[in-house]
Amino acid sequence: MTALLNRRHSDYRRHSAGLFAMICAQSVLAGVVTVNVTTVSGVTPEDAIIVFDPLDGLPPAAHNTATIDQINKRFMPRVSVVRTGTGITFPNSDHIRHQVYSFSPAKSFTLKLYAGSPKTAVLFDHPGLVVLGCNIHDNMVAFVAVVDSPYFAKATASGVASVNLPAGRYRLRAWHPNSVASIPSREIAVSAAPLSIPLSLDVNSESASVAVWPE
Amino acid sequence: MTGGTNRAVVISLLLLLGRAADAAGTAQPRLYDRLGGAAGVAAIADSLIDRVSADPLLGRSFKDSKLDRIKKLLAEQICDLSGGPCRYSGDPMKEVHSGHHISEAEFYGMVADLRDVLKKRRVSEPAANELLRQLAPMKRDIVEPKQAAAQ
Repeated sequence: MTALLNRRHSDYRRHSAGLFAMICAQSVLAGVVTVNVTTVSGVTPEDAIIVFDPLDGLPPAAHNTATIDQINKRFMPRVSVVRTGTGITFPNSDHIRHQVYSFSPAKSFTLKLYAGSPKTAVLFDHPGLVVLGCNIHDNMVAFVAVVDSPYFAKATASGVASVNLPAGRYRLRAWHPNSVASIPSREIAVSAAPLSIPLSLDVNSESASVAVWPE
Repeated sequence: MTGGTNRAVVISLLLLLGRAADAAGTAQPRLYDRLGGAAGVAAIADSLIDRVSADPLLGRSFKDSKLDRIKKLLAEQICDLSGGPCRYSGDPMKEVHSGHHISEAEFYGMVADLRDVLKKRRVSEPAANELLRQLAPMKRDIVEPKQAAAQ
């Protein structure tokens, strides 16, 4: 019994030391990885999401928050990417009411939003793609990509998505709400040197269906 | 034995007569039925929302809104108010209209459109008046005072 306890204790110590060494190594070896997203159809690559899933273990969970506002009967921003466990608040900058809903398996909910009503956070606690709509208004749609990894970015209008990554091996996933074909994920190795990755998307802004989320 | 049977027959007859008198006199068909029942009420709601959403003065409050949802809820509300077998499942009128800054002119514009729709559907004048009487108290929850609109 004592031996068992001792072993557990030493395991714990070894694990802590390992974690500490890993954090030090990471802060030294962090590299900026830039994904340059281009589209073949001439549509802006804005709203493309880039996720780096660490293949050597996830860093500890954190309590994050995010906001999706309602402005002129539109969700702002239209696309969000958050880490699993993030609480998202839905303020309402419009004077009229909205009724936000999701039927997505990763998070389904309904939220009545009145002007000046209290902003309750909705916890997004399962990874996956969440599609939001408004019961009252047509054309209000937003996407929340919930991912376990803390390493992600959204492309700017010029297609740049930069992430500061600790050295290691990652799986790179990409998604755009209007991409015609799913984008194959790939494995990449990150070291201290800056890394630039080109990524081409076939985006159709007229597409009525939502692109499949790469699990 | 025979006397008992006779008495029962007399009582039954009296009950039947009483019911017949009720139907012929004070009791009218429900307003819901006079509006045309489920189909009539649905058609009234459809026509009214189609009309106001296309109206240059009233249309602004319906822009980008899911009109099918409004039609369904309005039909439910009229059905409920007119004694039909429905229960209005929408939100209170005050919350629904809050922030739209509905003016008196817009409110009365919609009332005029409703009158027209009822007339076109050949709803009798008394039935139309009764429906409008039921809807009238909602004005205080729909029209927003000028001070609020100026904000």
